[in-house]
Formats: sequence, C-alpha cells, structure tokens
Amino acid sequence: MSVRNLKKLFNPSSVALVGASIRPCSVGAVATRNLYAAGFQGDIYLVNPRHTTIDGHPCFADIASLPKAPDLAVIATAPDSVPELIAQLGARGTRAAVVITAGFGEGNSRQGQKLCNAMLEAARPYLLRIVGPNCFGLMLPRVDLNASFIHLQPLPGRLAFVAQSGALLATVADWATHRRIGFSHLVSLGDMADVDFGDMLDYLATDGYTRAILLYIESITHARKFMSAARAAARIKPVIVVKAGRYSESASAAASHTGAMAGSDAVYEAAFRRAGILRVNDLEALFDAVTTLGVLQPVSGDRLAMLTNGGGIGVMATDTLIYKKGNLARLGESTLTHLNAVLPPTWSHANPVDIIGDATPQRYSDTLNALMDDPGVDAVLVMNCPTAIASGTEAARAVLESIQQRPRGARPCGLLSCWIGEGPAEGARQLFREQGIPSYETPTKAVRGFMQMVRYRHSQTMLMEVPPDIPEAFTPDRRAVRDIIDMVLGEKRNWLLETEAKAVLAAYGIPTVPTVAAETPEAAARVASRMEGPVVLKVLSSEVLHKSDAGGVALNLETASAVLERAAWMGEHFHPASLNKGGLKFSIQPMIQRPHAHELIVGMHVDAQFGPVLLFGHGGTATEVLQDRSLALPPLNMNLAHEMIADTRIYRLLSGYRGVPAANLTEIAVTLVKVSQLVCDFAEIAELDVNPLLCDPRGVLALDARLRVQPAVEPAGRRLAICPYPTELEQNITLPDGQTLLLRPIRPEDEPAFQRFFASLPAEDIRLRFLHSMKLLPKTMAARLTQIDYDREMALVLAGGDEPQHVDLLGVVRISADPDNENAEFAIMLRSAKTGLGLGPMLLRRIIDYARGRGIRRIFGEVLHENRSMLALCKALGFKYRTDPDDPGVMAVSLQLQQDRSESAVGTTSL
Amino acid sequence: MREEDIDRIVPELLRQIAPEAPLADLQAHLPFRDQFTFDSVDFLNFILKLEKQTGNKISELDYPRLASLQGCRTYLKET
Repeated sequence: MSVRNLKKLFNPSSVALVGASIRPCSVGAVATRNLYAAGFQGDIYLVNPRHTTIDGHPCFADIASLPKAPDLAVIATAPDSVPELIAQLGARGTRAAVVITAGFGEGNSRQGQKLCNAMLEAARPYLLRIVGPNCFGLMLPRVDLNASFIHLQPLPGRLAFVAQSGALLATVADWATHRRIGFSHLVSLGDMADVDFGDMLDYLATDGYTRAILLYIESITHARKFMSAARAAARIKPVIVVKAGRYSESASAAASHTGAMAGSDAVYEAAFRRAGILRVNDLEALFDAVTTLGVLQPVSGDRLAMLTNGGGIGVMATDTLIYKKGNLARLGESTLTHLNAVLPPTWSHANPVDIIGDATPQRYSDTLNALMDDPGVDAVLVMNCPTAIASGTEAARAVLESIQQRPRGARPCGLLSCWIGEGPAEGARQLFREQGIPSYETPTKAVRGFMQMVRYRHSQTMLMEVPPDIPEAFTPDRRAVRDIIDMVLGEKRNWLLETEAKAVLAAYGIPTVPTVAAETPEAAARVASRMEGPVVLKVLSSEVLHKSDAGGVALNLETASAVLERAAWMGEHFHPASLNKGGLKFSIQPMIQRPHAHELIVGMHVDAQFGPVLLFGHGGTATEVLQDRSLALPPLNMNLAHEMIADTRIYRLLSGYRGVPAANLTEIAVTLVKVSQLVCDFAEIAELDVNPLLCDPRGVLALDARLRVQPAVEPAGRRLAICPYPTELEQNITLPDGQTLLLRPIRPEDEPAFQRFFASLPAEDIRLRFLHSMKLLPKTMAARLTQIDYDREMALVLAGGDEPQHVDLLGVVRISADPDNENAEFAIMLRSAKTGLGLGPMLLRRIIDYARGRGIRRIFGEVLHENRSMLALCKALGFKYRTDPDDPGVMAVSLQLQQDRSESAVGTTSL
Repeated sequence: MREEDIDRIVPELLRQIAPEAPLADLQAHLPFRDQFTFDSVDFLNFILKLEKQTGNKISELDYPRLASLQGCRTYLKET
C-alpha cells in the first residue's frame, strides 16, 4: 500500500537471481537465460549453493557471499526458503524482490498462508517491497531487464502492462512483440501479497516514460486505495483494463432487488467508469487497445471519415461504428467538390468514401488530404482490401508520404489504418506501425480502436465537468434518522417497517406517499375510510421481504369493507410471520394513479470490495426481469446522478415519447443525490430499495421502501470506496465587521466561484502563488484544483456570499500529499483586501493542524524569493527554508510535523 | 481578563510589533490593519505574543476575532 521503494524495483542498478539453475526447462534456468539475454547493463548475481558457475557466469552460494546488496532480488526457490531469504536480503540492504515461487496460500492452503505472512513479516522492518508471490516476473525492456521466465524478449516501448495472470502477460507480450509493439513495464503481480494494482497505478501515473497503462484484473485489494490511484492515474494518461470474471453467481443470495441486480462485476464496471478507466471485455479488445495505445495520438472528437477501396469493408466499418455509438462524419461541400474533381465518377459521393477497387496510390493521397482538411472530420480510417489491379503496399506508402508531407500547422486530424489480408498487407501494417499510425487487420478492430480513443476523450471530459449545485436547499434531518435506526437496532431488528423506511426517506427530503400503520384489520378499515379514494393495503412486517410476491399487497381497494376483508385474509395467510417480532400489522396508503408516471427503482447495496453501491433503474415488480439498471459509487453529485439515469434504457422513455411528456429528470437526479447522502451519513444502512419510485413531469414519489440496518463497524465515511465530502471540517468564522464566512473543504461545484476568485487576484499575487504569470486559469487546472481526492488532498476555502448559490471565495489553502501520506505540498491564496485580518495565518495554521491530524510527516512548498511576507509568515510558523538548488529565485520551505519513520523509509519515495 | 488590562496589554504588544503605529489614537472598532501597516506576519506575531502574555492557546479559528481592539476585548473577556 505504498510507492516506497518501488523505484528500486523498476529502476535497479543490480539484480540477484536466487534459485538460478542449469536444470533444463526449470524456471531458474529460463530466468537465468532471460536475465543475460536481455542485456541488462547493471550487475547480475546468480545465487545457488550447488553451483560455482552457471553458463559461464559466477554463481554465489548465498546472500551473504554477494559482493554487495542487489537493488532487486528475483526469487525462484522453494516456498519454505523464501521468508528467510527475504530477511537476509533486507538485512543486507535490498529493498525490492520479485517472488516467482508459488505455494503461498493459493486455494486457501493454511500452511501456504502462514508462509506468506512470514515472508511479509520478514520484509516489514526494511520496507522491502515484494511483487508476487506466484508470479511470472518482471520485464523492463527500456533498461534491458528481463527478470521472468517468459519465452521471448519484449521490445522497449511506452506502454505499461500489469497483469494478475502471468500467462496473460506472456500472451500479450508474445502478440505485441510479433507486431513490434513495445513496453515500458511488463509486471505480473501474481497473488499481490504486497505490491498491488493501486501501487502500480500510483507509480506508473508519474513515470514520465509510460504513456498508457494496461491492466488485466481478476480482483483488486484495498478498494479505496485503488480508486484514489486509478482516478489520479486516469487524469494523467489512458488506463485500460480487462477485468475477468464477468459473470458471478454471488448475487443470487441477495435479499433485496438492488442486491440481486448489483452483481459484483457490474460494481467493478461502475468503479472503473467513476475512475475514468476504460474497460474492454476480452483479449481481442485488449490487443486492439495495445495497437491503439502503442502509438497513441489524441483525437479531438468522435467524427470518423472512412476511406476505402472496397465498398463492403466500408459498410462493415460503418456498421461497427454505429453499433458502438460512433459518429459517421458528414463531409463538407468543399470536400465533396474537391473529391469529385480527383475521383472517378463512380466514387461513393459520401462517407464512407469508396475510391473504387482500382484505386491508385495518387487517389489514396488526394482523398486522404481532402478528408483530413475537412473541418467536420476528427479522424480518418484508411482501409485497403487486396486486389490484383493495384498494389496495397504502394497505397500504404502513398498514405505515409501524404502524412509526412502535410505542412506543419495543418489542422490536426487523427489517422488509423486497416490493411486487410496476409502477406503484403502484413508488411503494410508494419510500415504504418513503424510510423506511429495504428494499423489493424479488420475494419471492426479498427473502428473499435477509434472508439477506444473516443471513449478515453469522453471520460477525460467527464472528469473535468463541473457539477451543478443541487437546485434546492437540502438540509437532511439526520437526528430523525439516527433515532429510527437506534430504535430498530435496539429492538434487535434488521429490516425497518415500511412506515419507518419512509420516515427515513422523508427526513432526507424525498417525497413519500402518506402511509398509516394499523394494528388490526378493523383499524385498517377505519384508516381507509378516512382516506379519499381507493387505497393500497400492505402487510407491515420486518419478516415479509417481497410483499407483492407473497400476496401481501392489495391495490385499488375502494371500500372500507374490502380493506377489512383483505386484511383479515392477510392476517390468516401471514400467520406464521405474525408469531415473530411483535405481530402482524398493516399499512394503508392512498392509491396513487398518475397516468404518465414511470415506476423506477433507487437502491443501495454493500459490495464486499467497494462498499456501498447505488442503483438506479426501471422499477416495479418486474424490475429483476427487466434488468435495466445502472450502478454508481457514492458520493454522487448532480452530474454523476444524471449520468446514472442516462445509462439506462428507461431513460429514453423518461425523456418523453409519442405524446407522453418527459418525466422530471432533475427531481430523479436530486433524489439520487439525497439517497447518496443518506448512505454516506449512516454506516448502519446495509441495504435499501425504494421501489417503486413514481416519476412524472410533476416530480417523484416513493410508494414503497425497504431498508436494512446493522450495527456499524466503522465510521460511515470509511466504508465508502471514494472519500466523501468531509462535512465535519466546516467551520464558521466571524470577521471584525460581523460578516460570517464559512471555512470548508472545496467542492467540485466551486469551480465557477474559483474562476471568479482567480480573476479577482492581482497579476502579481498570481505570479507569486504559481511562480509564473498566468492571465487565465485553464479549465483543466481549475477542474484539478476544485475536484480533489479528499483522501490525499485537502483544500479549505473561505466562502462568503449566499451559500451555496452565490459563493464568493475569499481565500484557499491546500495540501496535496504523496500516496504514502508522508510529504504534502501546501499552497495558499488570499484576496489582498482581506490581508491583515488574521485570515492568512488562520488558513495556514488550520491546514497544518489538519495535516498533522492526518499523520502527514512534513509539509513543504516553494516560495519566490521576493515573496517576503510569505517567507516571514512561514518563518513565524516554524518552517525551515533554503534556496532551491535548481532555481535560485525560489525558496524551498518545509515544516516537520512529526518524526520520520525508520531510516529505511526515508528519502526513497519516488514522488 | 478585565477590560482595563486588555486596553493596556493590546497596545503594548502592538507597539512591540509595529513601533511606528499611532497607538494613542487607536480606534477600538476599526481593524488594526485599517489604522496602520499591519500584515499577516504582524498579525501572527501579535497572536503569538498575546498567547504568551495570557498563557492561553488561541484557536486559529478565532484569529479574525482579534483583528481589532474591540474584538480583543470581547474575546479576552470570554477566556
């Protein structure tokens, strides 16, 4: 759970192979051969007590006899020997190891698990990082290191591939190497006893050489850490994941509709989407991703033009594009005119541009230039099918020449190629790849590659989007909910009665139908007689879960006598249940009839990995049959809620159709945000179904709700995979003139206010803060500064004005911690009109206290020499400072908050 | 703390931090910074001296309350 010492792992100057061997076909022999064959420039030490040389290389008897401590040790010896080896390596000074050996608890072997714990115990005092056990090894083609038992030498490149499965790693490496696609890192994580996907994402996100990250995931450990690392990495570079195990039977035992529909794989899907990671479903799609990302070029939009010498492949490519919700570019008039001039009259006169089977190289380049110059085209897919008339290779060369001859400053336009066939076509594809143009064997793969680029672009845009404020003042009655939950748990119940569940929703401002409880059939009839119009009668019991299925719901009862009769029948029918937990009761509510209303479901379920997950979908009694739902991790904002709604099929009905007016989508989104808040506030809530939630143009109304609680095992915020907005940090501040400000964590919704704040600052203040002049705050930076990961960063704003609608920011102080929570960089900005009122020292002190409370050991910052007042303030607060050796105009200031960890932990962080 | 003590201590501490300040004319309801040069560092030094003088730690959330003589009177009387 750290990036510490990963640098030793991925940039070693020396490597020891413990368990080097001469036995043919053994892991030790292959690993020995690979280490030397790759041409690693650092020292290589082989260790095996039975040999003095292996293949002519010296071999050492044990760790103690090595001339120096290797940076990295690769261990391929029997499992029993591993803990002791790790202890010896750690004592000598090694800080990273790859344990290839298996036998550490796979299949839940108790002995293996014990060994694994012993290995981790041995590593702990030295913070020695372990990849594996039970892994394929590690390949770093860029530094010519191959510490694995793979069958080939991968090529250097700028893709990192991290896989849980060694076999898959080898397969992808094999496929890519034959296509001359290279890698920066190939890492098999195996059982992930120590280094996991979160660590790898943290490390690779900031590795300047890696341009894109591919992951093959079967399961993850430490969901919150993974989410933080994935969100951070996906903002910097594309992260693509293949997740295996898409179908699981684990959902079948769930008691609520939400639980039954929120399969664990769908939760992974929701988590990946939230993090901005692209998911692909199979190996083939992963290969496409490797092809695309290996030569990644950004696309500026989703409009694709196709250029082909065969009509059929153009049609196939279009089919795939439309199926994947892509956009077929509409060609401009001037492009059409130009193409009419250079193409034979039989050309297709539209996109896809079919330049006919006898297409000459010149025709390819003329058409390509015209398409790339069309302002309505974001990318061009050039295709070629083999013909006896024209050479595909010549066509490929013509395309490449056109690209090379494109004038500098020409409008940017993406390019993909698809040369179909074997033999010469393979040579053409290779030509393209060598020139950095992705090239595919089939139109389907090519379009899929393009859509991956589009999806990546879309996910980046989504990450930057500012969520609107919730359109109504929302102050939940947390006290009321706390009382209900305490009462239910006090009565040793888990399921809330329907009336209690509705009271919980009502406390969070979710409209519910008025529902009255009655003890007896006679009382139910009396309640019904006081209600206007027909009523709904339901059993009110913690024991009956799916009431409709069990006959516990009677709709549209028009008279009190009908209610009496039906309630009496229910009393008989549910007699066994009535023996438990305080007898059988009834609930009566008016029959709601809204002609154009839709039945929706909003729910929550706790996933074993990711904690609470929210569900939205098509509700009603058939909800599980329809399986029309989308999942999302809380906390939600209005954007995420809208995205969740738009992700379902019922969204199209909700948007209005054939005379049916559109439902109030904003109200649905607000309800989702409220449910999200409820789930974030109460750790006791274990399962929730609001089904049906009626929705029409007037708004929403919860007709039924079920809620399960259990005693909390941790604070509410801790169980979420994404750290929620820390409300507890909000504080009121009173200025001498009586003005009250709110000191609170920054929110994504603050971006417009933050832009206004930035615009109000004098140019000199901006230069002092950002160390350079900046007239406008770029959108990406504004998003980055307002959408923070509260687990790793904190920004406190001083907000005045009419919260939340007209926020006026007066100052901001922030810290950004490394993934290990060791060091945090701080920054502060304050409107100059507010200096001298104690706000600057207050903000700095506040963030220092906060950092100390978080366990951060040191905070640091950079201050321009001429920023005398900031330097003086830092000095008064006890900061140490020195001139930055790389930039004499800058002072590096730092404040030690607590003692450093053991010596081995210091100074090795890569960030 | 009594008001007369506050009225004595606060100008004395201000004098140490901002010797040029016209403290004889100090207006109780106006923030110090509106009456003489008094920046963030001066403010922090003032707080540190005040903490030393009173022997009480001042929460940073209360700093803005101590930006004027009247603010100091109200705050220090409470503590």
